[in-house]
Amino acid sequence: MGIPKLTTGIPGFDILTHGGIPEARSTLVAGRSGTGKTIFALQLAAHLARHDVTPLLVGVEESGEDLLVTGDGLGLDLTALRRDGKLHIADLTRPMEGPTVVSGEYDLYGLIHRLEAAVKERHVKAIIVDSATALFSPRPPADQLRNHFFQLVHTLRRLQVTGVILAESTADYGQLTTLGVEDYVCDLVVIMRNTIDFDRRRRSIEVNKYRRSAHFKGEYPCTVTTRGLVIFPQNPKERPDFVAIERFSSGVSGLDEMTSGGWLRNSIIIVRGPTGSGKTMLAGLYARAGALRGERVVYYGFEEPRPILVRNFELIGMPMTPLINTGNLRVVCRYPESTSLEDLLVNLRIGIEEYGPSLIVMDSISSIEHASSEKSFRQFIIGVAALLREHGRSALLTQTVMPGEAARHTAPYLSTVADAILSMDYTADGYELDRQMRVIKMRGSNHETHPYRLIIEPGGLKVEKLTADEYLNRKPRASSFAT
Amino acid sequence: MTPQAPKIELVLYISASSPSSARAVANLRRILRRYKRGRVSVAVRDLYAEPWSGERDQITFTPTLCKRAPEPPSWILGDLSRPEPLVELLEFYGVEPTHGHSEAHHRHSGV
Repeated sequence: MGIPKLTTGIPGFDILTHGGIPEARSTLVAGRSGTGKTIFALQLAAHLARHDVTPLLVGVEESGEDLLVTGDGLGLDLTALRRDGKLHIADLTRPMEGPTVVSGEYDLYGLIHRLEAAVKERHVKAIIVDSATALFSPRPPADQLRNHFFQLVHTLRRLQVTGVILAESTADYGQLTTLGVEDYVCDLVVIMRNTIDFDRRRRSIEVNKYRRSAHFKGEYPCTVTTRGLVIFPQNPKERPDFVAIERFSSGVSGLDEMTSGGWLRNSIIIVRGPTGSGKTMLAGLYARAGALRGERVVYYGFEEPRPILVRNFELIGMPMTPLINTGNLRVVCRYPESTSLEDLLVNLRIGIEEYGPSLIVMDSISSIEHASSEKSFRQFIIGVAALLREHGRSALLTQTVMPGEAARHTAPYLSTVADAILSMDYTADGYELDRQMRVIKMRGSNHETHPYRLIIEPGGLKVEKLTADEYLNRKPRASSFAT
Repeated sequence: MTPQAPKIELVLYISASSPSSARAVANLRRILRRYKRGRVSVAVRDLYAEPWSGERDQITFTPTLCKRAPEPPSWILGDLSRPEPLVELLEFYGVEPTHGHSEAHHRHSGV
């Protein structure tokens, strides 16, 4: 069903567009300079070349040689593809010192005849122009420009080739392109952005329109890695249709009872609590229990450097080093301030694909939240959730809140991604901290709804059922350890 | 013409299917008629017949007049209905006008 499409091979893009770019139609990729349009074009060219859709790459901004070098640098091996006749290059750059002056009317036939010949003689099936902005320079009057552009798109359609035209925008939001005419005649319009959001670079991609095709709407985070552009769509289709009800132990005595049998597989758990409530300890127990069962676990620590984190676990009687040595546990510590959220997502993806952990811990997502804008953070969390669901992994994320706030409702995007939310909280009114833990929600589980007493002690933490009577007449218990 | 004076190499790229290309050929002939042609060589390439011949000079639009030599190359886009860019180019390189020469003399120089 639907219109014929060509896959692009750009990670995430074919999900956003429900299958790729329209075949034998034209696509416009608009964005300011530095948004990754050329990288998009090169990845696409390499993918098409490898799937027998011979592309002609028309370089106007950069010479053909420069494009090949950039592509080879991304591991696309364009030079080899060109040598094998699977990819063609047209170099339309003009040297800066050689000026072009206009003496009267002109048309686009010079290029059109060449495109016709490329299709006829070299069996080109896709034409990628980088960029229209540079191609139509010097810029003709508006009506003429429109004619030229229409002529180009019309030619591509007449030749039955798939067209991808890059165009420069002056701003991330507002008028789509500098020329201002391209989007009318293109069936698919993609906008790439690279904004500064809260002191941080945020790259995103948006499918602005797609004629006769459904597509994902809105901006999706993306990043440029050493292997090219990676987009993070949140694809509800990738959620497994059937999630097996499999439980695994939390590693905490009493907690398995509280959750009526332990954590659910393929679930995302958010643990909310104020600082010192034992979240890191619970996260460590989750990781240790997994690694001790022989599962692979990655622990992302965002709050302290790795040696300090490992030492702290050692001090509270939860040594991590033996598990790290067996290869079942990886501890990765990062400062969220020094990495972009997109890079963090890529790192997470690469980690999942290469190491193949079944359990992932992130302690704490609040450190990331505090180092980014709300919009970036929301995109990040949704991206993490999509990644975990896509791979069917389980995760425990901790979130720091004010004392007394742990059981209060959280941001809607956080509560929807979480399959389980637990609160760890305390009141500091008495001589000792009065710690409590509760299951706020747990999908598909007949869990306890009343509070549990939380005891932090060497070697881990314990939870004990609080009876209603005890709850109403609480006498704080001694607490010998705090995280 | 001094022996050191450089040769001027012009190539006019046209398309048989374009009206502005036909005008460019006529306009180029008219302008060149007013100059001594000894140092000026002109070639016309029809990109309809030879689509790859524009590759060397990175031709996108037709008509385009490319000055290949002397270096660096430069381009004049359009049908030359405005003669100034070409006239300025010829005069910049000191090409002499044909004062007193009959137009007939140059009719056979061929563009």
